[in-house]
Amino acid sequence: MSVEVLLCCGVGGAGKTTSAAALAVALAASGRQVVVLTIDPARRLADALGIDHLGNEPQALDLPEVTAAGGRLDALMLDRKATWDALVRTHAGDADLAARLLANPYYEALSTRLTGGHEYMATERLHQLAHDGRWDVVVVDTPPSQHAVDFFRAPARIRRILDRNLLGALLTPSQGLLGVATRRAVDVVRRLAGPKVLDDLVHFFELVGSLAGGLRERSAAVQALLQAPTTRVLLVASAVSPREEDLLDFLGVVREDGLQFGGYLLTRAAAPLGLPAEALVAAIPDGARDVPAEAWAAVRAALADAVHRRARDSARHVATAARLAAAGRAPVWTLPEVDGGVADLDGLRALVPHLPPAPPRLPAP
Amino acid sequence: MRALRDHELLVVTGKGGVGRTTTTAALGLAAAREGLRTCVVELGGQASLARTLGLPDAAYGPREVAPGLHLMSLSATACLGDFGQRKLHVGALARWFFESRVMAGFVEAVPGLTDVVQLGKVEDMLAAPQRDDPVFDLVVLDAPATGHGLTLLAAARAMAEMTAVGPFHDLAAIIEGLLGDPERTGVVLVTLPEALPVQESVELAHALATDGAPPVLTVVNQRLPPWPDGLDEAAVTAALTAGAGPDEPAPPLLADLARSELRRHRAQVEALAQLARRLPEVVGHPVPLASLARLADPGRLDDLLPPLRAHLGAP
Repeated sequence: MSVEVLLCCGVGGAGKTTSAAALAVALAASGRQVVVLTIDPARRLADALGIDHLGNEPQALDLPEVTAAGGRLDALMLDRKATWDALVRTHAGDADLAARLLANPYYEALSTRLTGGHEYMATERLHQLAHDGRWDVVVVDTPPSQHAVDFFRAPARIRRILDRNLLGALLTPSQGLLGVATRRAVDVVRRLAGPKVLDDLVHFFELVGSLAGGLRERSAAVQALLQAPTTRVLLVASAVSPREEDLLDFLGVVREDGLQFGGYLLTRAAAPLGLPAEALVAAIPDGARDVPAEAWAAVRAALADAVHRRARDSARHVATAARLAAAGRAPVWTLPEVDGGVADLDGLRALVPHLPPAPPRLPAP
Repeated sequence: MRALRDHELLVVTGKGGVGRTTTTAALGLAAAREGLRTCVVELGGQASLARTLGLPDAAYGPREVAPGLHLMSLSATACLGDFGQRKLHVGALARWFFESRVMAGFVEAVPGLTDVVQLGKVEDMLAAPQRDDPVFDLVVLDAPATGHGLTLLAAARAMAEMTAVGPFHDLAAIIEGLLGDPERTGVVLVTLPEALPVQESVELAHALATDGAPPVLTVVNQRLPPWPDGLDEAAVTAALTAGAGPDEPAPPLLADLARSELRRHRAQVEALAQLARRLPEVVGHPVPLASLARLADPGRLDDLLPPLRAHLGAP
């Protein structure tokens, strides 16, 4: 498969959506045919990317630099529920089974709220985009999470539920086959949850049984795509407060799961000052002609604060980048802080020169 | 509207990375200083709040971390065991049962169950503290970011619909009695003075207000120090360069910094104006606002307390 996939992972607030969008702009402006799948971008960024909040379909974005380079850029926002429904319709075989599943109360909860369901649908949508034929690069923003590894762990969780049917013990009518301990556990669950949930669950698993084979095959294909040599994982982290242990743990999980690691993207990095902070602060004049003393004092304070902040933040992320590069044997890209935050196309364009020139190709570790 | 200090539960939420945990810790400290017996709570076996408050790890039971302030780090497994023991009287069997494969499979498969049992524990701490546990006037909850935060707040309602009867149904109804009552629970919205976080906060406030839980306080984190009016780039650059020799490296660097600060400052002013204009529109009434300065040293939470104490002290 020649389609390249770039997965932007990281904890909530790291800058995944912005990084994915900037990466997509950079690649398209270098002549690639790019689609970016974003997860719930804030309205202004969505507007900048030409994404209609109501649509689950890619929408073309017309940028002069992309057209000039012969590239293409489409963007879409993941619609978790619509993707689940489409998956069920595809694998149900007949419309009647699909309709009954879609109406099942447990299915409703699973498709809208189950932990891990968002991530599972992101991988599902990725698979569709990669096999569409219109694009040669798919950039994926991942759902917000507490831990960067959640993205890879979540689909397995859903597969466990759909597939191995851990609830089998609850649903087996012939309880004589179960051990005493399990029977007791089943009793407690029945008492806790009440009959309605169990009825909905039993009904759901009866229905899902007939499409389980299709879902299994499908998730094997998605897994293969994630592990393909043309798929790379980028770890996005804030340069202001990166937790290095977490970043290195993530690398371990990525390699354990047989995925290719493409490198780190440190976002919101402060540029180094180039002079010692104290020297700079000392160089701020005590007063300024034509400026009231009080106003100049405020400027002095703001500048001194900015100098110290910049010195501290840049020292921190330079050290972090060096340690990550050494420990992970992986490249580190540093995206500068954009004054006031990235909220539009010009903000994204400001990041482009700092991004990897092409999807990073790394030798296997 | 009810005074901030008269709520039983404050739920702190906002976009990822805006400083929810720092705000939770500071709000807890501020409430304790105002004389409220306070507990700050984090969910999902996390230890971020514990670390912010200077402890190395998470623990389930309440620990006093400052005078009048306790900390609890809840996990779904521990809360379920607790629930089973006290509500179902499964007694000694509880631990064995709640760690069993059947239960693990069930918890994994039922959306919102982990949220509901943890919220149930919070409700229980407030309404029916155990004999040996401290009594609290206020619980401050470090809730997940945006989407997950909304899911958490709606978890009990969804669980009630899904179950129809049974102990989980009853638990959900009790939680809804706490979260759904604006006299008891208030949502605190944390944001940054930047365009995208403000925009996401407005969208979140809209969703919260639609769900019947409009924010009772907005906290703007990492405010930059003020920049005097009327001092533009040209004026500052001229002042910085005046009198310096032609080869001195400092003035151009300082001028760059000043330009960047001025740009950020303008972006901040614009973002805050946007917040002030849009928030009352989507919520339907003004929302009190507390501004917290950017901390030079993340350990110095004390620097954040005065504005929060002012809001908590207000009758």
